Amino acid sequence: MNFFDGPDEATFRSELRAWLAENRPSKEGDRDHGADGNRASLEWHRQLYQGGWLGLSWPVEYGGRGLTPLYDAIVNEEVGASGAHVPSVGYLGRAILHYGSDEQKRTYLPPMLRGEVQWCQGFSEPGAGSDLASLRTRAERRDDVYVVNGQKVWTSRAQWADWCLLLCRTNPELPKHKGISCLVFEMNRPGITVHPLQQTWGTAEFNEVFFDNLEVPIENRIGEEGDGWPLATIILAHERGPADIGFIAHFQHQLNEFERLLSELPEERRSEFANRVAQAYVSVAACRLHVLKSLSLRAKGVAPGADTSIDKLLMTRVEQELGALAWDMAGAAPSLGLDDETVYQYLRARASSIYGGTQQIQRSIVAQRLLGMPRG
Amino acid sequence: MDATLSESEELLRETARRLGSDLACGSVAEYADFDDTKAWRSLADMGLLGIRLPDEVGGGDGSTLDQSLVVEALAFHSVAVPFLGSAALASELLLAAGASQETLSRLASGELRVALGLTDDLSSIWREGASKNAVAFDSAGAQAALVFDSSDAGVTLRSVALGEPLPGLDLTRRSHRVNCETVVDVGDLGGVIDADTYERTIARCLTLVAWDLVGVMDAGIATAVEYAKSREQFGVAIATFQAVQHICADQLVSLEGARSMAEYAAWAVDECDTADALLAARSAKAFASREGRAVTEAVVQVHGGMGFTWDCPAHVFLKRALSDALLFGDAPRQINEIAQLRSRSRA
Repeated sequence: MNFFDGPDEATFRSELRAWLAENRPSKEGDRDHGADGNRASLEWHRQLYQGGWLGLSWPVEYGGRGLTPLYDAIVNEEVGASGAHVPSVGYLGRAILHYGSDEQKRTYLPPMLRGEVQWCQGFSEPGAGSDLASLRTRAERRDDVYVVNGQKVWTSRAQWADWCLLLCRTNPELPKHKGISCLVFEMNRPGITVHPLQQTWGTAEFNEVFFDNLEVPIENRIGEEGDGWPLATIILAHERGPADIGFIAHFQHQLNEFERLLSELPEERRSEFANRVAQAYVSVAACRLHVLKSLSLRAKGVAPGADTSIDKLLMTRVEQELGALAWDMAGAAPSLGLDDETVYQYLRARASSIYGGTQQIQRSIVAQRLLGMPRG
Repeated sequence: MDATLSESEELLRETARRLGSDLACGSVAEYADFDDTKAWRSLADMGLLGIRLPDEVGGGDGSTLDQSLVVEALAFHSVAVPFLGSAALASELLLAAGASQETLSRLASGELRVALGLTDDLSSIWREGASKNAVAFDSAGAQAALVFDSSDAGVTLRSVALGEPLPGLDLTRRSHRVNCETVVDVGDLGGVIDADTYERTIARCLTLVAWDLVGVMDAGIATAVEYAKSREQFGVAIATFQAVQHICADQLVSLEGARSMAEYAAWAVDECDTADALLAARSAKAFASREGRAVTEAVVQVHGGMGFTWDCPAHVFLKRALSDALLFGDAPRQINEIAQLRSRSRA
């Protein structure tokens, strides 16, 4: 056990710090919601990538740097401390890395990491949320294409995405986990309709996506027919690990904001909130240190599994604690419609126990796969 | 950077767990008249009583993390020996004060047992004016209790007599009143502990208690899960019910958070500057104190009606977690301190 940077890690960190002193995201980049936020976030993504700070743990031949995942942790810490966010970098790509052909990897991964091509994830359906494997979007093989019909929902950023990674049913005869396959395609193909859904905080990042006789060439299938479920499991395991999606940086940034805000509070409320902020500091530390341990295991070659559900559950606790604290510290302004940022933080935190697999699904995974409690 | 245990640390952990299992009481009834002589002897023979002490005195020259892993293993098995109080915490104080080799070697061999004399809220080591009475906690078989004398240069240790035993709630540990005016000679206790060393030593003590809580939580969850697998209602094991699964899962999340923080703290108190060490230790202790209580309460809940019968081990964990939470300051007290440490580091 050694939490100090090794020599290479230390050099990397000091170079990153120097770079961050010169490079900042534009103002909207700090708020990753809405069309402007999406654009700014992509710009920041490209800027970070060009600086050499994203996609670190990806293989060099696909646009990464072939470093250990611990470098991702350094990026999260430093970018977070600078007050900026870390864009979510291609956890979808992890599935392509595992199941894609060499050509697919070379085609899809580098532009994904560079932030040139934006992807969305066609997973959930109106009838397949927590029970994802019951999805019904159908892909029928006709000669050299699949014809896709069906509907997805909660598809984040589909309205801005260039490409989609879709889970669909290629064989309805097989048991539900076996008949699923994965297709990728451009979002501007005929037969795709995107309908944004407005969220409780006002903007619309997620969408309903309808497929009406969408044709996808068979060479756009990732893996074999029937590989869709294990492939989805890889994506979800990575999505649940907070480091891949930059949450730690976001938490650090929020904590810094709270500590700054303390001095602006009226005297009589300061000590109450100073203690709640200290409590939040402890919660963030628990999450951060657990993630560091997970990343150290990855660096040693242990693949992410059910243990990422612990990271996700810790992350959810922290996010909701921070959201509630932001709300309480802001007083009445958000209720009066005068503080959109706090409204966003608070309401968005409520979604953190839903996306990436609900808190209840995560608990079942932990109980059954880590504690060995039998399925009912 | 590597946030995982090394091979030798894993090995030590396994060894200590195996020994803990050998020394554990087989039932709750055994705690009442448990004679720890043989267990203490085994710990000395394995070199665990002096694991942090220097090589020259027969110690293991180990790190705080090594010491922590032993604390955790013995807590996991609720072993009724005063390892935390008389080996781990007292050793830290005597090391900090620079006690003589002779004193330290008697600690390592198990010949000398001393406890800490604490304020009557268990939050700090007693000194004149700190509280009316002092109490020794985890003081089974101790020849004396260590309290502080203050001076301008720092603090020094004074060894004083244990008084009458207190009834105590924790089944696995004993406590006593302390007669602070009655000095007992247990050998050379070293000299002044300066302010910086004092803070680092407190950081180590906080960390060791956090590890005790990690061991207790781990044991509690394992026991609850086993019980849930064997207990049948509605014709099936209650472990198949989501309501029960989700309680257990949440406790594992708390345990793993506490463990990660305790691991970092154990490393930080040896490697980082004092302010960072203290922040890491207080954070680990705050988290473990709060979650330790919540986890062991949940363990009682999973056991249903059995959970509040004397023969069921659930209350052994709960009571140990409750007293650990108080040692060197409860969660609200740590949070208060953390708020101040953070505001100082911003200033």
